[in-house]
Amino acid sequence: MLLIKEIKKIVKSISYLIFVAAIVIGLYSQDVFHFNEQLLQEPQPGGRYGFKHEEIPEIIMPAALSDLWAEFSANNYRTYPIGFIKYIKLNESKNRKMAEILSEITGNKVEVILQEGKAAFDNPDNVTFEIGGDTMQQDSNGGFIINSDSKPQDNVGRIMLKVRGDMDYSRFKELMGLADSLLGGGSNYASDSLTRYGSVPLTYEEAKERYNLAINSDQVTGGYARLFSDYAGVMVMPILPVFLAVILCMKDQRSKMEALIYTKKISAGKLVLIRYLALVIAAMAPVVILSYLSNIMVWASYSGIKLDYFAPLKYDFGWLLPSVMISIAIGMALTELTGIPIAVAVQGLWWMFDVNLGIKTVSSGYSLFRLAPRHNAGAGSWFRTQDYLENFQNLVQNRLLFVGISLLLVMFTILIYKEKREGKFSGNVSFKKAVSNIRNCKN
Amino acid sequence: MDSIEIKGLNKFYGKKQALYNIDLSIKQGMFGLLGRNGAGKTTLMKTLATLLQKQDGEIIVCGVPVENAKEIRRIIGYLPQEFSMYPSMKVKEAMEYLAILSGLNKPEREERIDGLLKKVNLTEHCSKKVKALSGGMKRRLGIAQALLNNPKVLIVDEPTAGLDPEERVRFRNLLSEIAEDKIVILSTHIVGDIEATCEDIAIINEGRVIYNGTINKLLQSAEGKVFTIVVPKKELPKWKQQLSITSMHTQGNEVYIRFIADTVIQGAKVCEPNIEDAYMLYLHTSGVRDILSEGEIGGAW
Amino acid sequence: MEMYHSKKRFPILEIAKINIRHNSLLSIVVAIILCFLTTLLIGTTNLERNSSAMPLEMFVSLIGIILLTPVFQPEQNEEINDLVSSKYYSTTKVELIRVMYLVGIIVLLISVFALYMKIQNCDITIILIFGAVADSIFLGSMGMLASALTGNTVIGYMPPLLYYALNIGMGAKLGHFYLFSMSIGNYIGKIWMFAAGVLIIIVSLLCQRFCRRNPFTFSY
Repeated sequence: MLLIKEIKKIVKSISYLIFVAAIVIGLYSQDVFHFNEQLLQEPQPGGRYGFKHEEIPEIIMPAALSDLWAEFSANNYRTYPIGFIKYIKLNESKNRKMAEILSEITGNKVEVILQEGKAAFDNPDNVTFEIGGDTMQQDSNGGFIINSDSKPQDNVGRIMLKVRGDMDYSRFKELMGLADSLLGGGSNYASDSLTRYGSVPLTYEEAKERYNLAINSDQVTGGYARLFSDYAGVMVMPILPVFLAVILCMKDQRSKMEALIYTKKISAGKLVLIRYLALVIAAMAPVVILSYLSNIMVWASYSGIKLDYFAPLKYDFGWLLPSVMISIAIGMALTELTGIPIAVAVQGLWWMFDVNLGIKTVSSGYSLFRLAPRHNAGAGSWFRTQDYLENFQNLVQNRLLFVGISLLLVMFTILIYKEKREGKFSGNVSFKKAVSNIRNCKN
Repeated sequence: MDSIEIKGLNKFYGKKQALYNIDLSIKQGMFGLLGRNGAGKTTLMKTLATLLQKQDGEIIVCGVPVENAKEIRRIIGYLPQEFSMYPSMKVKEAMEYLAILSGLNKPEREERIDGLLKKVNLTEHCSKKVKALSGGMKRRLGIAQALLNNPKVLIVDEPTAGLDPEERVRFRNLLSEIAEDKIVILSTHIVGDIEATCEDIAIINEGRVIYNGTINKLLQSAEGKVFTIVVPKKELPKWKQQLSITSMHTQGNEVYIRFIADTVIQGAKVCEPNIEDAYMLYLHTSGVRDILSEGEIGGAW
Repeated sequence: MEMYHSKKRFPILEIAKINIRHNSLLSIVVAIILCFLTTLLIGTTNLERNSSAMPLEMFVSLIGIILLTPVFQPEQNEEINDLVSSKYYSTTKVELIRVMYLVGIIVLLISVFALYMKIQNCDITIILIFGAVADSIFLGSMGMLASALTGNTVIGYMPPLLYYALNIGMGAKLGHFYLFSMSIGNYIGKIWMFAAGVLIIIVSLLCQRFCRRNPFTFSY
């Protein structure tokens, strides 16, 4: 059978060996085989259960003000307009507008605000907080977190920098929105980010509820499978399969098989589909095995609790398969179209920017166009089953979109293949022409 | 006079031995290496061209031992079996680049490249992409580039494979012309190439030289061992099993068979051997059967 | 007829020019695109020192993979290899020329990028530029070695990209070989990476030279 032949061809190659080794190394580095060191524990009354974000004006307003003051006095604002960090420095008129906002919030005069802000910056001995990157540290997951412990306590004392007693929360939100638009959007003061300042400890009841949800909804193994998918989905699966696809397609060219295959009787559609399927199977096989190896580690630790033994499989196919599909589809389509391994660059750049774009949303990144959805922040957090369930709809949409695009690309590949076979589309002529035009321009 | 001396050459790919104890002495003029695909011709030529390293034995090219790759590359020109160049290069650019790699300076290059392109009739195609050239043109460009450094030795691997008959004749003539003042080593599995151009030949089979000498001698050794016979078509399978057939053709219900044998059989007539027959005879005596089923050698006669 | 072999200097510039045009142009274009994308997608204004290192280390240094990995690609076509290897100047020299001008382009692109950041009021020092170049060469050398060992450039891209992913995943645990170390104020590692990069490049050039004349068959 042709499918088995193609799979054999892929699997029996040095590139596949490297592929598997790369997956194992990539995942091993994330400790996916030591999940048994991170066990789910039933909350006991009187313990600490972590934090959650809530819209509590009494907590949000002072915390947000304190941050804004720190950034204002340094005139260096951290924003994430499209996910990447971007630093903003305000010009004089905008700086004054920011001072007006601070003035309204604190009840101090605009001039005082401006003066004190400048003083705090010019005289760093008086200031305990630091600017920019030093407060930003990389957490164990590779995301960047902002260390908000260093708050400008001194300055708060000096000019009574606190929210006016009669400040109305809705007005406060308006003012923060104004500040956000002064900064060009994407700051911590945007209305959707403001709740991050409302960090409150979980109560015992809430922690218990979380625990129950993890036991009942995730059946424990689901949480670990999700964490595995998070790592595999960001580290290896969106990028490595593209190599298998490109190498397989280029192999025909290298060994001059193209002409031979073009004349064979099998239809273009069938051949491309079989190859696609073979690549997907070959790429998925090690991940499925590894996901089980990782999951089995924790089974013994939860004796007596009902576990979902199919959880890894569900996540492999629901979460990871679409990433593999899009990666391979791009690899095949671009290689057939251009005849050069440009797909590696395209997928490589997309993956790199996607991963880095997601730095702010490592805890739960489920937006529609994310190549690598995320659900991961700190120890034990993958059991935030509630968050997952709330975002499930988005995840499904995202994954279905990728499956759809993949299938479109496969159809596109079939078309190119057909055209090539009939000799209408002599491979990459138009593309190469474009390249040679650039070349001639340069000379 | 310049010559190439090969003594006791062995070559291995891993554990597989590709050349066994080759001894050859090659003098000025055309020298033909004849053998089936995979016989070791390309390996031998690549070793001469310093592309492969020999394991043991001795090769001396015009007084220079082959270990001195740099010096050897200065005096040889090599045309690989398949000729291709970086995909975006045009004919003139390819010549220019290869001339630089051959160590020619600018005035030498200008003079040489135009002359050579003219010689191989490619002047009007000099701004075409190399990969867009036809098979014959590519081969001619290949010869032109191999002559850039005006080599003492020209090594040409299977130059006529894939050319149409007219191109093939022209190409042979071109080579003969070049061979007037050089050593030209030509490998082929097409007997006609050798017949038309070479005086001295070697036949290589499975890594061993099974004949080395002139064409006349080769023919002489086949004298009295080549026969023809006419048999009915339906008996052909039976004859095919019995005889070492070198060629055959069908006319109506009868088949004309040409075969080699040590003694005459009933109904057969002795005939004048040609090179093909002699070549077959040598392969045959070195233990190769089912020659015709290979489909390479033989044909109409 | 006299032989055409004049004793003279090795024509580095001519070989470089032809190779840039015919063998490296596409990767240079992709590298420039990467730099442009970085300026579009990530903030490069008003950064203090550690933050300035981030775009250089995390994004711009990737041009090393794009530029250096395909150094051996043109001669990985066996026919072309046979042809150029039979010429007087050895292919290893040509590859060395490629490496040299590509490293030059890496330095140039990173410097231009750093200058652009400097104009945008970022705290850029020569050390940051050197660090990014070291990252870049280190990543690229990995690609070159893998390409030389397997004879396949596409496979060559895999190890450096995996290493990049490991750096995102493992962070400072990688010690001196942590690609993003300047973002956390550590500069010493860059010397190690630079040295390792140069060493790996030399090893891969030698390895390519050795493999070429003593082929052992790999299947891809």
